[in-house]
Amino acid sequence: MTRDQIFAVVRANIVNIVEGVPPEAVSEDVSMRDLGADSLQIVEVVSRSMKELRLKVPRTELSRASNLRDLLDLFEKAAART
Amino acid sequence: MIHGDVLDSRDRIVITGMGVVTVVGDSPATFFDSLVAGRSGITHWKQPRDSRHYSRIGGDLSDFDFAAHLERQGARYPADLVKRGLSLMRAAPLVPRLVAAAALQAFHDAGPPLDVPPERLGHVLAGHNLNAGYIVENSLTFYQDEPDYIEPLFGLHCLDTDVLSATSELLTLRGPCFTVGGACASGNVALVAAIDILRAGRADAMLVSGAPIELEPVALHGWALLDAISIRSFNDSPERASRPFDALREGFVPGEGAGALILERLSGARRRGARIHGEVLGVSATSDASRLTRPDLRGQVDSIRLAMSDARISPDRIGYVSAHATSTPLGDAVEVAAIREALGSRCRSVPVNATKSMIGHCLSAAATIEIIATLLQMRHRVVHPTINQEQPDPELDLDFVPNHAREATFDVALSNSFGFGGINSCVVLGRIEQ
Repeated sequence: MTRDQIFAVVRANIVNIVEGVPPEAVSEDVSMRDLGADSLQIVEVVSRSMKELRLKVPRTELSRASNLRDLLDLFEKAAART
Repeated sequence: MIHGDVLDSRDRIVITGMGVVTVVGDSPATFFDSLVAGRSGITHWKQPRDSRHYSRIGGDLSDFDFAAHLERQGARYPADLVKRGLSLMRAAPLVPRLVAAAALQAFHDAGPPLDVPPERLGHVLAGHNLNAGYIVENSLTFYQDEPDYIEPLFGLHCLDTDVLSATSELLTLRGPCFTVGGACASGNVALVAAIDILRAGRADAMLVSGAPIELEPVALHGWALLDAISIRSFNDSPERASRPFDALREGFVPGEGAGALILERLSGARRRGARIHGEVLGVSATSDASRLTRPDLRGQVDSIRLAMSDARISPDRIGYVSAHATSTPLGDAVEVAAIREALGSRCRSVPVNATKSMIGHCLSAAATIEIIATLLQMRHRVVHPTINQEQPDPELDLDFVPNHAREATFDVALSNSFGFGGINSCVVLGRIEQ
Protein backbone atom coordinates (compact mmCIF):
# COMPACT_ATOMS: atom_id res chain seq x y z
CA MET A 1 0.00 0.00 0.00
CA THR A 2 1.51 3.32 -1.06
CA ARG A 3 1.37 6.59 0.83
CA ASP A 4 -0.69 8.04 -2.03
CA GLN A 5 -3.28 5.30 -1.60
CA ILE A 6 -3.47 5.94 2.14
CA PHE A 7 -3.77 9.68 1.56
CA ALA A 8 -6.59 9.16 -0.95
CA VAL A 9 -8.62 7.19 1.60
CA VAL A 10 -8.05 9.74 4.38
CA ARG A 11 -8.88 12.65 2.11
CA ALA A 12 -12.08 11.02 0.87
CA ASN A 13 -13.20 10.46 4.46
CA ILE A 14 -12.42 14.05 5.44
CA VAL A 15 -14.40 15.39 2.49
CA ASN A 16 -17.30 13.08 3.30
CA ILE A 17 -17.39 13.68 7.05
CA VAL A 18 -16.30 17.31 7.54
CA GLU A 19 -18.77 19.57 5.84
CA GLY A 20 -17.66 22.09 3.27
CA VAL A 21 -14.09 20.84 2.77
CA PRO A 22 -13.09 20.69 -0.91
CA PRO A 23 -10.64 17.87 -1.80
CA GLU A 24 -7.95 20.35 -2.84
CA ALA A 25 -7.89 21.85 0.67
CA VAL A 26 -6.64 18.57 2.12
CA SER A 27 -2.86 18.35 2.23
CA GLU A 28 -0.28 16.74 4.48
CA ASP A 29 0.58 20.12 5.99
CA VAL A 30 -2.82 20.80 7.52
CA SER A 31 -4.53 19.31 10.54
CA MET A 32 -8.16 18.27 10.61
CA ARG A 33 -8.76 21.05 13.15
CA ASP A 34 -7.46 23.51 10.50
CA LEU A 35 -10.11 22.14 8.14
CA GLY A 36 -12.86 22.79 10.68
CA ALA A 37 -13.35 19.26 12.03
CA ASP A 38 -14.72 18.82 15.54
CA SER A 39 -13.46 16.15 17.93
CA LEU A 40 -16.11 13.59 16.93
CA GLN A 41 -15.42 14.11 13.23
CA ILE A 42 -11.70 13.54 13.81
CA VAL A 43 -12.43 10.26 15.58
CA GLU A 44 -14.71 9.26 12.73
CA VAL A 45 -12.22 10.08 9.96
CA VAL A 46 -9.40 8.20 11.68
CA SER A 47 -11.49 5.14 12.59
CA ARG A 48 -13.18 4.82 9.22
CA SER A 49 -9.87 5.20 7.40
CA MET A 50 -8.21 2.53 9.55
CA LYS A 51 -11.07 0.13 8.96
CA GLU A 52 -11.09 0.77 5.24
CA LEU A 53 -7.32 0.28 5.01
CA ARG A 54 -7.47 -2.71 7.41
CA LEU A 55 -4.85 -1.06 9.62
CA LYS A 56 -4.54 -0.81 13.35
CA VAL A 57 -2.76 1.98 15.19
CA PRO A 58 -3.05 2.09 18.99
CA ARG A 59 -4.95 5.12 20.31
CA THR A 60 -1.98 6.16 22.41
CA GLU A 61 0.09 6.61 19.24
CA LEU A 62 -2.68 8.36 17.33
CA SER A 63 -2.95 11.08 19.93
CA ARG A 64 0.59 12.22 19.04
CA ALA A 65 -0.34 13.12 15.44
CA SER A 66 -0.60 16.89 15.09
CA ASN A 67 -1.28 17.08 11.36
CA LEU A 68 -2.12 14.79 8.46
CA ARG A 69 1.55 14.12 7.74
CA ASP A 70 1.96 12.60 11.21
CA LEU A 71 -1.21 10.56 10.72
CA LEU A 72 -0.08 9.26 7.33
CA ASP A 73 3.32 8.34 8.84
CA LEU A 74 1.57 6.25 11.47
CA PHE A 75 -0.71 4.61 8.91
CA GLU A 76 2.24 3.91 6.60
CA LYS A 77 4.20 2.25 9.42
CA ALA A 78 1.17 0.19 10.40
CA ALA A 79 0.69 -0.86 6.76
CA ALA A 80 4.30 -2.00 6.59
CA ARG A 81 3.74 -4.16 9.69
CA THR A 82 0.76 -6.00 8.21
CA MET B 1 -57.76 10.91 43.50
CA ILE B 2 -57.10 14.45 42.34
CA HIS B 3 -59.05 17.13 44.19
CA GLY B 4 -61.47 19.32 42.26
CA ASP B 5 -59.89 22.61 43.25
CA VAL B 6 -56.56 21.49 41.77
CA LEU B 7 -58.30 20.40 38.60
CA ASP B 8 -60.12 23.71 38.28
CA SER B 9 -56.93 25.70 38.34
CA ARG B 10 -54.70 23.49 36.24
CA ASP B 11 -53.65 24.40 32.72
CA ARG B 12 -55.41 22.79 29.79
CA ILE B 13 -52.92 21.02 27.53
CA VAL B 14 -53.37 20.70 23.79
CA ILE B 15 -51.59 19.03 20.91
CA THR B 16 -50.61 21.43 18.13
CA GLY B 17 -48.09 19.40 16.13
CA MET B 18 -47.95 15.85 14.82
CA GLY B 19 -45.43 13.83 12.83
CA VAL B 20 -45.23 10.16 12.00
CA VAL B 21 -43.15 7.61 10.13
CA THR B 22 -44.61 4.13 9.73
CA VAL B 23 -44.59 1.28 7.25
CA VAL B 24 -47.81 2.61 5.71
CA GLY B 25 -46.99 6.31 5.51
CA ASP B 26 -44.37 8.87 6.49
CA SER B 27 -46.64 11.84 7.17
CA PRO B 28 -49.94 12.18 9.02
CA ALA B 29 -51.79 12.48 5.70
CA THR B 30 -50.30 9.39 4.03
CA PHE B 31 -50.51 7.41 7.28
CA PHE B 32 -54.18 8.26 7.70
CA ASP B 33 -55.02 7.42 4.07
CA SER B 34 -53.47 3.97 4.52
CA LEU B 35 -55.28 3.34 7.78
CA VAL B 36 -58.64 4.22 6.28
CA ALA B 37 -57.89 2.04 3.25
CA GLY B 38 -57.04 -0.87 5.55
CA ARG B 39 -53.56 -1.24 4.07
CA SER B 40 -51.15 -3.54 5.87
CA GLY B 41 -47.44 -2.68 5.94
CA ILE B 42 -46.36 -6.04 7.36
CA THR B 43 -43.89 -7.92 5.14
CA HIS B 44 -41.09 -10.44 5.33
CA TRP B 45 -38.01 -8.94 6.96
CA LYS B 46 -36.09 -7.06 4.27
CA GLN B 47 -32.60 -7.38 5.69
CA PRO B 48 -30.74 -10.68 5.71
CA ARG B 49 -31.12 -11.97 9.24
CA ASP B 50 -29.82 -15.07 10.89
CA SER B 51 -31.87 -17.92 9.46
CA ARG B 52 -31.98 -19.75 12.80
CA HIS B 53 -34.31 -17.36 14.56
CA TYR B 54 -38.03 -17.92 14.31
CA SER B 55 -39.33 -14.48 13.35
CA ARG B 56 -39.90 -14.02 9.62
CA ILE B 57 -42.28 -11.08 9.41
CA GLY B 58 -42.85 -7.60 10.74
CA GLY B 59 -43.09 -3.90 10.05
CA ASP B 60 -39.65 -3.29 8.57
CA LEU B 61 -38.30 0.24 8.11
CA SER B 62 -34.64 -0.78 7.97
CA ASP B 63 -34.30 0.83 4.54
CA PHE B 64 -35.70 4.19 5.71
CA ASP B 65 -33.84 6.89 3.80
CA PHE B 66 -33.78 10.14 5.80
CA ALA B 67 -32.54 12.24 2.86
CA ALA B 68 -35.24 10.89 0.54
CA HIS B 69 -37.83 11.52 3.25
CA LEU B 70 -36.72 15.15 3.48
CA GLU B 71 -36.97 15.41 -0.31
CA ARG B 72 -40.60 14.29 -0.06
CA GLN B 73 -41.65 16.09 3.11
CA GLY B 74 -39.04 18.73 3.70
CA ALA B 75 -39.65 21.14 0.86
CA ARG B 76 -41.52 23.21 3.42
CA TYR B 77 -38.68 23.19 5.97
CA PRO B 78 -36.12 26.03 6.20
CA ALA B 79 -32.99 25.20 4.18
CA ASP B 80 -30.65 25.50 7.17
CA LEU B 81 -32.77 22.99 9.13
CA VAL B 82 -32.61 20.49 6.27
CA LYS B 83 -28.85 20.95 6.02
CA ARG B 84 -28.39 20.47 9.78
CA GLY B 85 -30.63 17.40 9.70
CA LEU B 86 -28.70 15.75 6.89
CA SER B 87 -25.42 16.45 8.65
CA LEU B 88 -26.61 15.12 12.04
CA MET B 89 -28.14 11.99 10.57
CA ARG B 90 -25.37 11.13 8.08
CA ALA B 91 -23.92 8.25 10.12
CA ALA B 92 -26.79 7.82 12.60
CA PRO B 93 -28.46 4.45 13.27
CA LEU B 94 -32.06 3.86 12.20
CA VAL B 95 -33.93 5.06 15.29
CA PRO B 96 -32.51 8.60 15.50
CA ARG B 97 -33.33 9.03 11.81
CA LEU B 98 -36.94 7.92 12.35
CA VAL B 99 -37.38 10.14 15.40
CA ALA B 100 -35.81 13.17 13.71
CA ALA B 101 -38.08 12.74 10.69
CA ALA B 102 -41.21 12.57 12.86
CA ALA B 103 -40.08 15.44 15.09
CA LEU B 104 -39.35 17.71 12.12
CA GLN B 105 -42.87 17.10 10.83
CA ALA B 106 -44.42 17.83 14.23
CA PHE B 107 -42.34 20.96 14.71
CA HIS B 108 -43.26 22.29 11.31
CA ASP B 109 -46.90 21.33 11.84
CA ALA B 110 -47.02 23.30 15.11
CA GLY B 111 -45.68 26.44 13.56
CA PRO B 112 -44.63 28.69 12.29
CA PRO B 113 -44.43 30.55 14.44
CA LEU B 114 -43.95 28.33 17.45
CA ASP B 115 -42.69 31.49 19.14
CA VAL B 116 -41.25 29.84 22.22
CA PRO B 117 -37.64 30.58 23.17
CA PRO B 118 -35.37 27.52 23.03
CA GLU B 119 -34.94 27.56 26.82
CA ARG B 120 -38.70 27.04 27.21
CA LEU B 121 -38.86 24.16 24.72
CA GLY B 122 -38.38 20.64 26.07
CA HIS B 123 -38.35 17.10 24.81
CA VAL B 124 -39.44 13.83 26.39
CA LEU B 125 -38.43 10.84 24.32
CA ALA B 126 -40.44 7.66 24.85
CA GLY B 127 -38.48 4.44 24.69
CA HIS B 128 -35.45 2.44 25.70
CA ASN B 129 -33.12 -0.23 24.24
CA LEU B 130 -33.53 1.82 21.10
CA ASN B 131 -30.35 1.06 19.19
CA ALA B 132 -30.33 -2.65 19.97
CA GLY B 133 -29.69 -3.66 16.36
CA TYR B 134 -26.76 -1.27 16.09
CA ILE B 135 -25.33 -2.61 19.36
CA VAL B 136 -25.65 -6.22 18.23
CA GLU B 137 -23.93 -5.47 14.90
CA ASN B 138 -21.05 -3.70 16.59
CA SER B 139 -20.72 -6.48 19.15
CA LEU B 140 -20.24 -8.89 16.27
CA THR B 141 -17.56 -6.63 14.75
CA PHE B 142 -15.84 -6.44 18.14
CA TYR B 143 -15.80 -10.17 18.79
CA GLN B 144 -15.51 -11.56 15.28
CA ASP B 145 -13.32 -8.97 13.53
CA GLU B 146 -11.39 -6.26 15.35
CA PRO B 147 -12.40 -4.18 18.40
CA ASP B 148 -11.02 -0.99 16.83
CA TYR B 149 -13.29 -1.45 13.81
CA ILE B 150 -16.56 -0.89 15.66
CA GLU B 151 -18.41 2.23 14.51
CA PRO B 152 -16.30 5.27 15.44
CA LEU B 153 -19.13 6.95 17.31
CA PHE B 154 -20.44 3.78 18.96
CA GLY B 155 -19.73 5.24 22.41
CA LEU B 156 -22.27 7.94 21.65
CA HIS B 157 -24.77 6.17 19.43
CA CYS B 158 -25.19 3.17 21.75
CA LEU B 159 -26.97 5.39 24.28
CA ASP B 160 -30.71 5.98 24.12
CA THR B 161 -30.04 9.59 25.02
CA ASP B 162 -28.22 10.05 21.71
CA VAL B 163 -31.58 9.63 19.97
CA LEU B 164 -33.02 12.33 22.21
CA SER B 165 -30.07 14.67 21.90
CA ALA B 166 -29.74 14.44 18.12
CA THR B 167 -33.29 15.72 17.72
CA SER B 168 -32.89 18.26 20.53
CA GLU B 169 -29.84 19.63 18.68
CA LEU B 170 -31.62 19.57 15.35
CA LEU B 171 -34.53 21.61 16.70
CA THR B 172 -32.54 23.67 19.24
CA LEU B 173 -34.46 22.52 22.30
CA ARG B 174 -32.77 23.84 25.46
CA GLY B 175 -35.46 23.17 28.07
CA PRO B 176 -36.04 19.91 30.00
CA CYS B 177 -34.95 17.03 27.73
CA PHE B 178 -34.80 13.41 28.88
CA THR B 179 -35.95 9.88 28.05
CA VAL B 180 -38.80 7.98 29.68
CA GLY B 181 -39.14 4.22 29.55
CA GLY B 182 -42.33 2.24 29.99
CA ALA B 183 -41.98 -0.73 27.64
CA CYS B 184 -44.93 -0.77 25.24
CA ALA B 185 -46.64 1.99 27.23
CA SER B 186 -43.65 4.33 26.86
CA GLY B 187 -45.45 6.74 24.54
CA ASN B 188 -48.27 7.45 26.94
CA VAL B 189 -46.00 7.56 29.98
CA ALA B 190 -43.84 10.14 28.16
CA LEU B 191 -46.97 12.18 27.50
CA VAL B 192 -47.74 12.13 31.23
CA ALA B 193 -44.22 13.40 31.98
CA ALA B 194 -44.47 16.18 29.39
CA ILE B 195 -47.84 17.35 30.72
CA ASP B 196 -46.44 17.47 34.25
CA ILE B 197 -43.55 19.63 33.01
CA LEU B 198 -45.93 22.04 31.28
CA ARG B 199 -48.23 22.27 34.28
CA ALA B 200 -45.28 22.80 36.61
CA GLY B 201 -44.28 25.75 34.44
CA ARG B 202 -40.87 24.31 33.56
CA ALA B 203 -41.45 24.75 29.82
CA ASP B 204 -43.90 26.40 27.43
CA ALA B 205 -43.95 23.71 24.75
CA MET B 206 -42.87 20.08 24.79
CA LEU B 207 -41.92 17.68 22.05
CA VAL B 208 -42.95 14.12 22.88
CA SER B 209 -41.28 11.65 20.58
CA GLY B 210 -42.18 7.99 20.42
CA ALA B 211 -39.08 6.02 19.45
CA PRO B 212 -39.17 2.38 18.36
CA ILE B 213 -36.69 -0.33 19.20
CA GLU B 214 -34.53 -1.16 16.17
CA LEU B 215 -35.51 -4.77 15.63
CA GLU B 216 -32.73 -7.33 15.55
CA PRO B 217 -32.56 -11.12 15.63
CA VAL B 218 -31.67 -11.61 19.29
CA ALA B 219 -34.61 -9.64 20.70
CA LEU B 220 -36.97 -11.13 18.10
CA HIS B 221 -35.82 -14.59 19.11
CA GLY B 222 -36.29 -13.73 22.77
CA TRP B 223 -39.89 -12.71 22.15
CA ALA B 224 -40.43 -15.86 20.10
CA LEU B 225 -39.21 -17.98 23.01
CA LEU B 226 -41.69 -16.18 25.27
CA ASP B 227 -44.40 -17.12 22.74
CA ALA B 228 -45.21 -13.43 22.43
CA ILE B 229 -44.91 -12.87 18.66
CA SER B 230 -46.49 -14.38 15.56
CA ILE B 231 -44.12 -17.03 14.15
CA ARG B 232 -46.29 -19.93 13.03
CA SER B 233 -49.28 -19.40 10.78
CA PHE B 234 -48.75 -16.31 8.65
CA ASN B 235 -45.20 -16.46 7.34
CA ASP B 236 -46.56 -16.97 3.83
CA SER B 237 -49.07 -14.14 4.14
CA PRO B 238 -47.45 -11.52 6.41
CA GLU B 239 -50.18 -8.95 5.87
CA ARG B 240 -52.61 -11.30 7.65
CA ALA B 241 -50.47 -11.81 10.76
CA SER B 242 -51.50 -8.83 12.88
CA ARG B 243 -55.15 -9.59 13.64
CA PRO B 244 -56.14 -8.21 17.04
CA PHE B 245 -59.38 -9.69 18.43
CA ASP B 246 -59.67 -12.29 15.64
CA ALA B 247 -59.92 -15.92 16.75
CA LEU B 248 -56.80 -16.86 14.75
CA ARG B 249 -54.51 -14.29 16.41
CA GLU B 250 -51.32 -15.84 17.72
CA GLY B 251 -49.02 -13.08 18.92
CA PHE B 252 -47.90 -9.55 18.26
CA VAL B 253 -46.14 -8.58 15.04
CA PRO B 254 -43.11 -6.40 15.79
CA GLY B 255 -42.83 -3.20 13.82
CA GLU B 256 -40.67 -0.12 13.43
CA GLY B 257 -42.11 3.40 13.34
CA ALA B 258 -41.93 6.72 15.15
CA GLY B 259 -44.35 9.42 16.17
CA ALA B 260 -43.96 12.93 17.50
CA LEU B 261 -46.29 15.41 19.18
CA ILE B 262 -45.99 19.06 20.19
CA LEU B 263 -47.79 19.86 23.43
CA GLU B 264 -48.48 23.28 24.86
CA ARG B 265 -50.92 25.08 27.11
CA LEU B 266 -54.25 25.96 25.52
CA SER B 267 -53.78 29.62 26.44
CA GLY B 268 -50.48 29.82 24.54
CA ALA B 269 -51.82 27.94 21.54
CA ARG B 270 -54.86 30.23 21.34
CA ARG B 271 -52.71 33.32 21.71
CA ARG B 272 -50.61 32.44 18.70
CA GLY B 273 -53.55 31.23 16.65
CA ALA B 274 -52.26 27.67 16.36
CA ARG B 275 -54.23 24.89 14.74
CA ILE B 276 -55.16 22.57 17.62
CA HIS B 277 -55.44 18.86 16.90
CA GLY B 278 -57.00 18.02 20.23
CA GLU B 279 -56.86 18.40 23.98
CA VAL B 280 -55.33 15.95 26.42
CA LEU B 281 -58.23 15.77 28.84
CA GLY B 282 -56.81 13.18 31.17
CA VAL B 283 -54.01 10.69 31.64
CA SER B 284 -53.09 7.82 33.91
CA ALA B 285 -49.95 5.86 34.74
CA THR B 286 -50.16 2.80 36.97
CA SER B 287 -48.28 -0.39 37.72
CA ASP B 288 -49.48 -3.92 38.37
CA ALA B 289 -46.53 -4.36 40.74
CA SER B 290 -45.54 -7.35 38.63
CA ARG B 291 -42.62 -8.03 36.30
CA LEU B 292 -44.60 -10.50 34.23
CA THR B 293 -45.64 -10.17 30.60
CA ARG B 294 -49.14 -11.35 31.55
CA PRO B 295 -51.67 -8.51 31.48
CA ASP B 296 -53.65 -7.81 34.64
CA LEU B 297 -57.35 -7.03 34.35
CA ARG B 298 -57.50 -5.05 37.59
CA GLY B 299 -54.55 -2.90 36.54
CA GLN B 300 -56.04 -2.13 33.13
CA VAL B 301 -59.48 -1.28 34.51
CA ASP B 302 -57.93 1.00 37.13
CA SER B 303 -55.79 2.72 34.51
CA ILE B 304 -58.76 3.41 32.21
CA ARG B 305 -60.86 4.66 35.13
CA LEU B 306 -58.08 6.86 36.43
CA ALA B 307 -57.65 8.50 33.02
CA MET B 308 -61.41 9.17 32.82
CA SER B 309 -61.37 10.49 36.37
CA ASP B 310 -58.42 12.75 35.54
CA ALA B 311 -60.42 14.02 32.56
CA ARG B 312 -63.46 14.43 34.82
CA ILE B 313 -65.68 12.52 32.45
CA SER B 314 -68.01 9.58 32.87
CA PRO B 315 -67.80 6.55 30.57
CA ASP B 316 -70.79 7.70 28.54
CA ARG B 317 -68.70 10.57 27.15
CA ILE B 318 -66.22 8.20 25.50
CA GLY B 319 -66.97 8.02 21.77
CA TYR B 320 -64.09 5.90 20.53
CA VAL B 321 -61.39 3.60 21.92
CA SER B 322 -57.95 3.13 20.37
CA ALA B 323 -57.15 -0.25 21.85
CA HIS B 324 -53.67 -1.40 22.80
CA ALA B 325 -54.64 -4.60 20.98
CA THR B 326 -51.37 -6.30 20.17
CA SER B 327 -52.92 -9.44 18.63
CA THR B 328 -51.86 -11.78 21.44
CA PRO B 329 -54.47 -14.32 22.53
CA LEU B 330 -54.45 -13.34 26.20
CA GLY B 331 -53.65 -9.62 25.85
CA ASP B 332 -56.60 -8.82 23.62
CA ALA B 333 -58.99 -10.85 25.76
CA VAL B 334 -57.94 -9.09 28.96
CA GLU B 335 -58.15 -5.66 27.33
CA VAL B 336 -61.65 -6.33 26.01
CA ALA B 337 -62.69 -7.42 29.51
CA ALA B 338 -61.10 -4.25 30.92
CA ILE B 339 -62.92 -2.02 28.42
CA ARG B 340 -66.20 -3.78 29.24
CA GLU B 341 -65.75 -3.31 32.95
CA ALA B 342 -64.45 0.26 32.85
CA LEU B 343 -66.96 1.57 30.29
CA GLY B 344 -69.91 -0.53 31.44
CA SER B 345 -72.87 -0.48 29.08
CA ARG B 346 -71.17 2.28 27.07
CA CYS B 347 -68.75 -0.30 25.62
CA ARG B 348 -71.53 -1.61 23.36
CA SER B 349 -71.90 1.65 21.49
CA VAL B 350 -68.31 2.78 20.87
CA PRO B 351 -66.00 1.70 18.07
CA VAL B 352 -62.85 -0.01 19.37
CA ASN B 353 -60.15 -0.47 16.74
CA ALA B 354 -56.54 -1.57 16.47
CA THR B 355 -54.02 0.51 14.52
CA LYS B 356 -51.52 -2.31 15.10
CA SER B 357 -53.49 -4.53 12.73
CA MET B 358 -51.87 -2.56 9.88
CA ILE B 359 -48.50 -1.34 11.15
CA GLY B 360 -47.64 -4.02 13.69
CA HIS B 361 -46.58 -3.26 17.23
CA CYS B 362 -44.08 -0.40 17.24
CA LEU B 363 -43.33 -1.11 20.91
CA SER B 364 -42.15 2.03 22.70
CA ALA B 365 -43.39 4.22 19.82
CA ALA B 366 -46.80 2.55 19.59
CA ALA B 367 -48.75 4.78 21.98
CA THR B 368 -47.54 8.02 20.38
CA ILE B 369 -48.42 6.76 16.91
CA GLU B 370 -51.85 5.68 18.15
CA ILE B 371 -52.55 9.10 19.65
CA ILE B 372 -51.86 10.54 16.20
CA ALA B 373 -54.17 7.97 14.60
CA THR B 374 -56.86 8.84 17.15
CA LEU B 375 -56.64 12.59 16.54
CA LEU B 376 -56.74 12.11 12.76
CA GLN B 377 -59.85 9.95 13.05
CA MET B 378 -61.45 12.52 15.34
CA ARG B 379 -60.72 15.35 12.90
CA HIS B 380 -61.86 13.49 9.78
CA ARG B 381 -64.89 11.93 11.47
CA VAL B 382 -64.05 8.45 10.30
CA VAL B 383 -62.80 5.36 12.14
CA HIS B 384 -60.28 3.12 10.45
CA PRO B 385 -60.83 -0.63 10.30
CA THR B 386 -59.25 -3.35 12.34
CA ILE B 387 -58.12 -5.52 9.46
CA ASN B 388 -57.85 -9.31 9.25
CA GLN B 389 -61.15 -9.91 10.99
CA GLU B 390 -61.89 -13.26 9.40
CA GLN B 391 -63.00 -15.48 12.22
CA PRO B 392 -64.68 -13.68 15.11
CA ASP B 393 -63.67 -14.75 18.57
CA PRO B 394 -66.98 -15.51 20.31
CA GLU B 395 -65.55 -14.27 23.60
CA LEU B 396 -64.73 -10.84 22.19
CA ASP B 397 -67.87 -9.04 21.14
CA LEU B 398 -67.19 -5.31 20.96
CA ASP B 399 -67.46 -3.25 17.77
CA PHE B 400 -63.94 -3.65 16.38
CA VAL B 401 -64.73 -1.85 13.10
CA PRO B 402 -63.99 -5.05 11.18
CA ASN B 403 -62.20 -4.72 7.84
CA HIS B 404 -63.84 -1.51 6.58
CA ALA B 405 -63.57 2.11 7.67
CA ARG B 406 -66.73 4.03 8.36
CA GLU B 407 -67.89 7.50 9.22
CA ALA B 408 -68.06 8.20 12.92
CA THR B 409 -68.15 11.46 14.84
CA PHE B 410 -66.77 11.50 18.35
CA ASP B 411 -65.55 14.28 20.60
CA VAL B 412 -63.83 12.25 23.32
CA ALA B 413 -61.52 9.29 22.80
CA LEU B 414 -59.66 6.83 24.99
CA SER B 415 -56.24 5.51 23.93
CA ASN B 416 -54.91 2.51 25.87
CA SER B 417 -51.37 1.27 26.23
CA PHE B 418 -50.17 -1.56 28.41
CA GLY B 419 -46.56 -2.70 28.62
CA PHE B 420 -44.60 -5.74 29.74
CA GLY B 421 -43.89 -5.59 33.43
CA GLY B 422 -47.36 -4.34 34.32
CA ILE B 423 -46.96 -0.78 33.07
CA ASN B 424 -50.32 0.75 32.22
CA SER B 425 -51.02 4.20 30.84
CA CYS B 426 -54.19 5.55 29.28
CA VAL B 427 -54.97 8.89 27.68
CA VAL B 428 -58.31 10.64 27.16
CA LEU B 429 -58.30 13.04 24.23
CA GLY B 430 -60.93 15.62 23.32
CA ARG B 431 -61.93 17.67 20.32
CA ILE B 432 -61.35 21.40 20.43
CA GLU B 433 -63.51 23.54 18.25
CA GLN B 434 -61.31 26.09 16.48
